Amino acid sequence: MPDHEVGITDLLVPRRAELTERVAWFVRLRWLAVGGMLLAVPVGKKLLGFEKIDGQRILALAGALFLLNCCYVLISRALHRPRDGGSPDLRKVELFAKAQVLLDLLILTAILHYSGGIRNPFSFYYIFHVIISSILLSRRSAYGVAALCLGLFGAMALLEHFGVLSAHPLNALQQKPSAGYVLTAIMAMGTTLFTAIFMATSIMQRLKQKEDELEKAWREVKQLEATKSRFLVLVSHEMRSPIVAIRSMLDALGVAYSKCLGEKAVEMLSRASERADSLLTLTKDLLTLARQQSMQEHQTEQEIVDLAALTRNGILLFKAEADEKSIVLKESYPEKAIGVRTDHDSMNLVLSNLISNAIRYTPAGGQVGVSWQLEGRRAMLKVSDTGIGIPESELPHMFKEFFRAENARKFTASGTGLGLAITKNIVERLGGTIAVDSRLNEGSTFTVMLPLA
Amino acid sequence: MSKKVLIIDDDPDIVEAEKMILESHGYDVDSASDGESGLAKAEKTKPDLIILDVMMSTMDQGFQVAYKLKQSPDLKKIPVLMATSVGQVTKFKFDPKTDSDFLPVEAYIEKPIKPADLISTVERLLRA
Repeated sequence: MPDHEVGITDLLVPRRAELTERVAWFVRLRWLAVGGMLLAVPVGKKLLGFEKIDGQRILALAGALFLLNCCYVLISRALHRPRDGGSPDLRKVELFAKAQVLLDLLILTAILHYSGGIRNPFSFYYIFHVIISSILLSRRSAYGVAALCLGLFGAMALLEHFGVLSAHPLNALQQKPSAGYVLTAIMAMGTTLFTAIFMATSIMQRLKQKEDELEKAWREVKQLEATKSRFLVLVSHEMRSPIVAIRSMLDALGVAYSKCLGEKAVEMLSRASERADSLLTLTKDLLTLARQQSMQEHQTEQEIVDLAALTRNGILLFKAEADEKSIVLKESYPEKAIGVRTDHDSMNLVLSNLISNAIRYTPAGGQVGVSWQLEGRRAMLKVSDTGIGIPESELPHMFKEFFRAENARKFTASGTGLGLAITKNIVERLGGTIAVDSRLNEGSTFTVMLPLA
Repeated sequence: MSKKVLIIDDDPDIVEAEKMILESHGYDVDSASDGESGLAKAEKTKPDLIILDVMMSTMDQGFQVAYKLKQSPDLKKIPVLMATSVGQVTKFKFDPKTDSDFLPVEAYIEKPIKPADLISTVERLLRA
């Protein structure tokens, strides 16, 4: 299955970015460690009474770690942006991470040795490397790191105990630990490290698995969405011309043969023609919806449009419709221009959908208001009417595809239930929001907020 | 004498429907099913008006026919009514880019054309 393989290599890309990112974060964390070491010597000596602390050696180690970390920064940068411009080499990044862990552990062991050995409470700092390794590296390497930690710690403890290495107690009060204490310390360290690694790696594995599943599901959804859009475009295109032909022929019949057909037949023809017309509206809306959805993926050309001017012009087209129902159309605009980054067609759709809905669902003699306001860095459009309103229980569904409120269906047969879905789609693509507020039998207000350019 | 109308459209059902409406209003109607034969017929019969479909076999064939008609010294005076389904995206049109001067034709009308609109547009173009 070649498709499947493509998916898996694609999945590795974010993980690779993640690994390099975490390695960089690991490097930043090390500056803190250097700072902590520099601070530990005076604090330990002056405040905590560890007068025998080997300050010189620890400072030398801190210096070495500082220089090493400078190198890491440079290497990390080179790995992050390879010269050939490709993505970071996963193998090299992993090797880099392993080298860092190894050197860190050696330095940590040396520091512990010069500051009390196994009696230094900081010996548990090994655990950080174990946890970081189980995040960054494979499960096997993580266990390797844990074994290395335990080996170094155990070797230090035993060599100090048998006098091969001279012990560096923190102060005069610290006695040489007994063999039992050394053994217990090694066991405590070992169990802690391996338990930690077991927990960390199994959590990581589950997370990675979930992440893979999510990513796969997301890809599938995306693909389905694209297929749906293509299908919609195809179907509505193919449906359109036959419906246009049907409607044209029905109309022609009604006109040319009205005398010989009789009143009833002509009326049936005109009803058939109206039904064909609503089918046409549906194909048109479906096409628009599919187009808007595909526009989301392919950014269309946008420019700064003055929405006040756009609305002033566009609203003229609704004057006749409003007059016919003796609906008063009220407009209000701010003094300044409303510049929003968009394209004319999309914004026209938003305005025409909201205004034509307001007029459609308002009984004769009502009022429709269109107002633009500037609200900080956003433009606010309110389209309000004194229409039939929306039942409260149906408000949450208003922007769903094909949804029409019960009272809207009763009020008028025309309408596909796609207008508001299209509108919401556009508004959200432009980075805005749309909301509706309504009272049954009193009217509705649609509020659109768009970011100003 | 009745006025001559030439319909250029590749959909025979649309042609027949428009023909029926126009003939019932006393026009003399001829038709062509593609751009090339449409241009040839226009040359030969010199109609008083041409109804042209935008979307024929190729997406812009109608536009090309319109340009050719308007470039021909013999034919450029014949008013052209363009029947379009291009403007199907929005009803809310006032973008200067889609204004009529962008099309080299006298009028355009969105399909499906209502009989009353067809007759009134044809009458208006013939009066002008």
